[in-house]
Amino acid sequence: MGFLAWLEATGLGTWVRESNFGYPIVLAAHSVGMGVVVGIILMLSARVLGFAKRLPVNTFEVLFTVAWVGFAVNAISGVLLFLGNASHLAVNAPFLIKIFLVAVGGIAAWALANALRDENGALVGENWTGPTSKAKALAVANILIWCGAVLAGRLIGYTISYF
Amino acid sequence: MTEADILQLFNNSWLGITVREVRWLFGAGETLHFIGLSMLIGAMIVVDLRLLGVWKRIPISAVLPFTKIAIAGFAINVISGLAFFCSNPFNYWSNPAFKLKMFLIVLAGLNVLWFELAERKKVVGLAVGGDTAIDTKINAGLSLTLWILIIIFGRLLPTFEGATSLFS
Repeated sequence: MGFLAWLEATGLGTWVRESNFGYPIVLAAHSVGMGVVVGIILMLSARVLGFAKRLPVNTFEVLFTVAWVGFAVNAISGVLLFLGNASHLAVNAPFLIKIFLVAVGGIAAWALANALRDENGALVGENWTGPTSKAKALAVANILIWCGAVLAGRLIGYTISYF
Repeated sequence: MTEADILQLFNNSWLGITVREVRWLFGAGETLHFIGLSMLIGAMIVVDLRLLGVWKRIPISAVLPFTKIAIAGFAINVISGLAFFCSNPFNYWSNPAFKLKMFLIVLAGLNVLWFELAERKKVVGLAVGGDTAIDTKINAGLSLTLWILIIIFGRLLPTFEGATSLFS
């Protein structure tokens, strides 16, 4: 039995695929996690691009923690979704593109946060003189990459033969 | 005019016809709908966490501009949502999860109204470092809870298609 088919045959994979509640619950969690991760990154990008200038960037330290929780929810629900349909997802182009974009997006988000840190590693605060052009470019890049990941994710449903 | 007549009006609208005919429009609309919800929930997380008492040293007026992003996200979702509905109104209207989602959106809207009419001027006048009142915190907590529930029920729409109730 191939590895992917073995994954699908696991208890978890079977539960996601065959129970009445499995797939909807996992997908619902994945949607909320997506909203949290993409939402917070969009808000950071908006701030860097000049929105709400009176909000110190270091408020995002807490928001990064919230985003990490959302990311963890999506990593777990994502693995569960994969287990349910591994052999079809592994060869689905939008799925592979989405995973690639999430990885690139993760790097882009890290790079943006990094471009907003002072010499001590803390996010800039009330004394910030404004974003460098690098930070602004990274903000735009994050918006495009993460919206691309959302699009790729939506296309999975249209291109996959489920179960 | 019966309920069926009204649904038929939505069905026969330009929006309904166009979304049914141009096949990729529905998927494009869904992508916009997800981006809109991300804008909405992201903005609400920033504002509501501040209202709940995080970052007390920041004046609340510093986070309130994010309500504009929330409104923009909501507008994107009303338009894309209307497009979905017009493309298949009888299907959506008979879905118990859809009706619950719409009801939750009405509740969330009333919660926004409560904030705008009563809470906003209270919090804008708050001294730096001061704590928000308990009703402000309830409003903020309701906001986050309702919008997350709305996302969840939106995601559950296909599950309850054709169901007579949420519990059958």
